[in-house]
Amino acid sequence: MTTDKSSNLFAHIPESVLERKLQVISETVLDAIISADGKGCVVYVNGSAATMFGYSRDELIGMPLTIIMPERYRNLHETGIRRFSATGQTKIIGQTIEVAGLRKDGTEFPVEISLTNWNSDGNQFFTAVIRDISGRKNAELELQRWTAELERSNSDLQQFAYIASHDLQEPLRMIASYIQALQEDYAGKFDENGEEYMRIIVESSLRMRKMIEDLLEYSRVGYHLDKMEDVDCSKLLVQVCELMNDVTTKNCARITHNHLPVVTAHGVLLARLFQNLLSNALKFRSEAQPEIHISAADRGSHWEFSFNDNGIGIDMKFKDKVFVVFQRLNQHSRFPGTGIGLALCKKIVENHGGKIWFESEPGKGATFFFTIAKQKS
Amino acid sequence: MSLERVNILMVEDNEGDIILTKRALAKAKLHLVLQVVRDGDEAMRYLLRKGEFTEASRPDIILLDLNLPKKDGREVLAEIKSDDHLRRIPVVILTTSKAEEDVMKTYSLHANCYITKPVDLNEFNKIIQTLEDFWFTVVKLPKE
Repeated sequence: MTTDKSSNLFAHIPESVLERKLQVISETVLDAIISADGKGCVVYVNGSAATMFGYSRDELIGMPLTIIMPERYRNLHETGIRRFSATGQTKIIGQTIEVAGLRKDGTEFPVEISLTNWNSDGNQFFTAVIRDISGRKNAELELQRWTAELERSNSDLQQFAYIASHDLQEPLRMIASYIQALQEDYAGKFDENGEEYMRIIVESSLRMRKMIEDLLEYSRVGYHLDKMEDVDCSKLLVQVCELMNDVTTKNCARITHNHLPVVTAHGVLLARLFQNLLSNALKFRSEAQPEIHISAADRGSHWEFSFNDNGIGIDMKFKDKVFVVFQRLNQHSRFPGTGIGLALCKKIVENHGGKIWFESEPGKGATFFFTIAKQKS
Repeated sequence: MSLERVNILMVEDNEGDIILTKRALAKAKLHLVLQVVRDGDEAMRYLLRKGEFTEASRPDIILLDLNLPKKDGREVLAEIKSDDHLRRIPVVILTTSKAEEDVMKTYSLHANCYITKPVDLNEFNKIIQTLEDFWFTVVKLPKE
C-alpha cells in the first residue's frame, strides 16, 4: 500500500485544507499514530501516541522507532525494515499484528499495530497506527478463567451426581430385595396392615430406584456435546416411533408429521427428546383416540419444532413447574413416572442452545414447542 | 446332561447379596453346593488350593462380583482366565455395575457372561433360576 493512491483520493482538496483536516483527525483519534522515516527515526507522533507511551512529543521525535518496543522485538523489527528496503518483501506491512509496547516508565502493555509504508519525494516513510488492547486482553483472560472455572465446576457436579446416584443404589437395592424376601418368606405371618406396609415400602424403594436412574441420566446430559452430528429429524422420528410401537399400538394412536429438517445435534439426546415428548403425549391422553402431530416451522435463524396432541391438556399456570426436576402435576397412581421427563427435555434443548415451552388448555390437548438452530451452511 | 452335584464358588463381599443368593439357590432342584469367599485374595487361594483351602473342590462355575476388597474382581478374572488349569471354568460376572466400560472390559478378559444385579427380588430369583437352567441343564460343562 503506497501513498500514490491517497494522493488521488484527495487530489481535489487544497493542500492546506487537507492538511488541517488530517491533523484534526490525527489529534482526535484514541489510537496512537507514529510515523518514521526510512532510517526508522520518528518524524511524527500524534497526541495519543505521546500519552499512550508516556513521553512528550519532543522526547519521541528523532528517536528510533524501537524506543517504544520491548527489547525482544527490536531485532525482528530492524531485520524486517532492512529486508523491506532491500527487497520490498514484508511480513507485517499492510497487516494488523499483536505485540507489546514499552512505556517510558519501563512497563509493557499489549498492543495491536497496523503498519504501512509510503513515499514522499522519493523518501521512504513508515506509519504505525497503534491500539492499546490491554482492556480487551484482560477481558479475554477473565473469560478464559471463568470458562475454566465453569468447566471444572460442571465436571465436579457431574462426578458428584454420578457417585451419589451410583452409591445410593446399593443400600436401596438391599432394602427393596429384603422387603420382598420378607413378603415371600413370611407371607402368612403378617396381617393385612403388615402386608400393606410392606407393599408401600417396596413401591417406594422401586420408585426411588427409578428416580436415581433418571437423575443419573439427567446429570449426564451436556457432556457429549463434542459428538454433534447431522441428524435427519424425519428419519429420527420414524426410528423413535418404531421404538415406541408397542405403546402407540396399545393406545391406537395416530402419529403424523410434516417434513422435518436436518439439524446439527447430538443424535441420541435428540432421540430422547422426541421420545419423551411422544411418550407424554400418549401417557396424558384423553378418552379420544390420541392424535399426535409433529412439525417444524422455519423461523429464519432457527427451526421451531412442535409436538401437538389431543390429550388432557395442562393449565398454563404450570408453564414453568412442568419443567422442574421431579415436579409432577398428577397423582402417582393415575400417571406413573418420576416427573423428570420434561426437565430432561429442557436440559437437552438448552444444551443445544434452544428454548422449550408449551401452549395448552385443560381438556383441549397441548402443543410443546422447542427451537433448534439451523445448520450452518 | 445334568450334573449330580454342582459346586458353585461365589466371590462376593456384600453380606446381603450372599444371603439372597443362598436363598435363591435353596429353591433349586439340583444339588448345589455353594462356597463363598469374601475377597479377591481369598478367591485365588481357594482356586489354587493354597493356605486354608488345600482340600477345596474345583468349582463347576464361578459367580464373581467386580468390586471386591483386597484383590479386585477384574484382576481375579484376568488371573483365572490366564491360568491353564482354571481358565475353562465358566465365570459369571454378577455385579451392581451397569457401566459400559465394565461390560466391555470383562468380556475382553473372557468372562463368560455379565449380569447386573437387579433391584427387584423376583428378577434376582429369576436370574439365579436361569443360571441354573442354562449352565447346569442346557450347557455342557468341561470335566476337570
